[in-house]
Amino acid sequence: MEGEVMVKELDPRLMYLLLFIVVGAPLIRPLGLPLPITEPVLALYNKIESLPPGSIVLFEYGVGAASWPEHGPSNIAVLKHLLSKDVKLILISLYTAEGPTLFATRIKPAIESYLEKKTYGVDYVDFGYITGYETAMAAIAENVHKALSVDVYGTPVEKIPLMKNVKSAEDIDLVVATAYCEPYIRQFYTPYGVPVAIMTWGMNAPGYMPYIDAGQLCGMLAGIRGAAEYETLIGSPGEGISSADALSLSHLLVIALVIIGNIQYILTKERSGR
Amino acid sequence: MRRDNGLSWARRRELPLLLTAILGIMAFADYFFAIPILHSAVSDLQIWTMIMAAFAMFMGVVNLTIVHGRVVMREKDSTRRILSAWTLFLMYLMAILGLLPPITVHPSFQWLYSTTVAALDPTVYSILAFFITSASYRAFRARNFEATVFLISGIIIMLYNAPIGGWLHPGLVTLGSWAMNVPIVAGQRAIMIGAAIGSLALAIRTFTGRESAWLRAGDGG
Repeated sequence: MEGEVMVKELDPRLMYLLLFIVVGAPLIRPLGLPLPITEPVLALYNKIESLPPGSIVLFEYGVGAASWPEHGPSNIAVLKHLLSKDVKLILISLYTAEGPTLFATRIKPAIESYLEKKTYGVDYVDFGYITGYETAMAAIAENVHKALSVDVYGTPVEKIPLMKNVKSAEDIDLVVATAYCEPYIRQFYTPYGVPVAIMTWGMNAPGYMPYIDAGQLCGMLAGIRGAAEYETLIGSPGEGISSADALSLSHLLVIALVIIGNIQYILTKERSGR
Repeated sequence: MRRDNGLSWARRRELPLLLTAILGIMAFADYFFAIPILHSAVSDLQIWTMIMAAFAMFMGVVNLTIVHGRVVMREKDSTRRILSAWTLFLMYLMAILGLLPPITVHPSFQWLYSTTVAALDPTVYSILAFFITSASYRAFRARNFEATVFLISGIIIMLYNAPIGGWLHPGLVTLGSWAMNVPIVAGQRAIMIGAAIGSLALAIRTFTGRESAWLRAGDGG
């Protein structure tokens, strides 16, 4: 049973140390590995590029502190792109109550130079956190003024110039959301035909491919990889690109450990005569 | 044992079942049919739901106050009492600072959030990476044909997802892209359609009162 002894000898603490090194080292000294652009990311970029001037975009920034590394850089990259275009932004957080705080503390400072060129209430408006998630989406899609009565500063929706012509989902040209795509497809794409794009966790990417394939999602940024690709496309390096190398090396470490584990497993089987 | 002798109409299970059926069917019908009066009623229901969801947060505060307040008042173990008191203090501190205008973006709330939640939450979440690394070494074994296919697919998708995959061999990106667009889409569609049919069946059971497990939530059974 020597093989089994070998399996047991690979100390978990060694794995933890290796992971710590492969994640930490590239953050200090990036490797600058080339980053091929995947189709769902390019699709969102092209969609935003093709928006006519004055288009209305509903941007849902429901980022939580725990999911910041997966969603935060994507939110910043897409907002930078949207703010560099002549589009009107309706900002909202539906997924989590943490959204407005993280928007104020992390997203806003990163896009400050873009926001300075825009006028609040005319080019963008922030409604903060709205409870109810999918029910809130349905209510917003049905009647924006009824569901979003005041903005984050307490200004009545009727007094916000941007919102004068935004009455329902029919007046929205694109929805870019964080976390899960299914509720937005159900409430915006299917009944009103509003294109929906999602910024989600890396692990959700395979599950959302059927929506991309069916045209129900017009684009997707999955995790750090998606953010890194988008930052490359807009030419504005940020957290995504700096984390991409850490992602690469950590994946390589996991693959190496899986291979080692399997070699040990095969050796164990051979030696035990099974 | 739950006592329900029919004397209290509020405790009868028929009432919530009937309400669920009526409101559920209304929302369901509104999605598929354009009936103005129904549309107006469902629109109002949606606003009510948003208000109730906001009120549920307040109920959370009340519930935590009752639970921890009971510990502070009755518990003999001083450590537990101190921890519960500390939890209540922090909860109310965050709640009060969070309600200072502008709500949730007041500098004092932001400072508290950034120095506690924003630091602790990702820390706890990132510990998963260490667990997954160790687990992948122990669990991903090519024990049989299916497990081997699973293992190879997993490695291909990982290399596709990590930028280094394309750098190691451009064919890995092509292979990963094919895996994402063909077998994964096919498998996911099957799962999604199956789950959707299952949800529909569950909805019909709920509307007709055959599914009432949710009514017993919280009373142990």
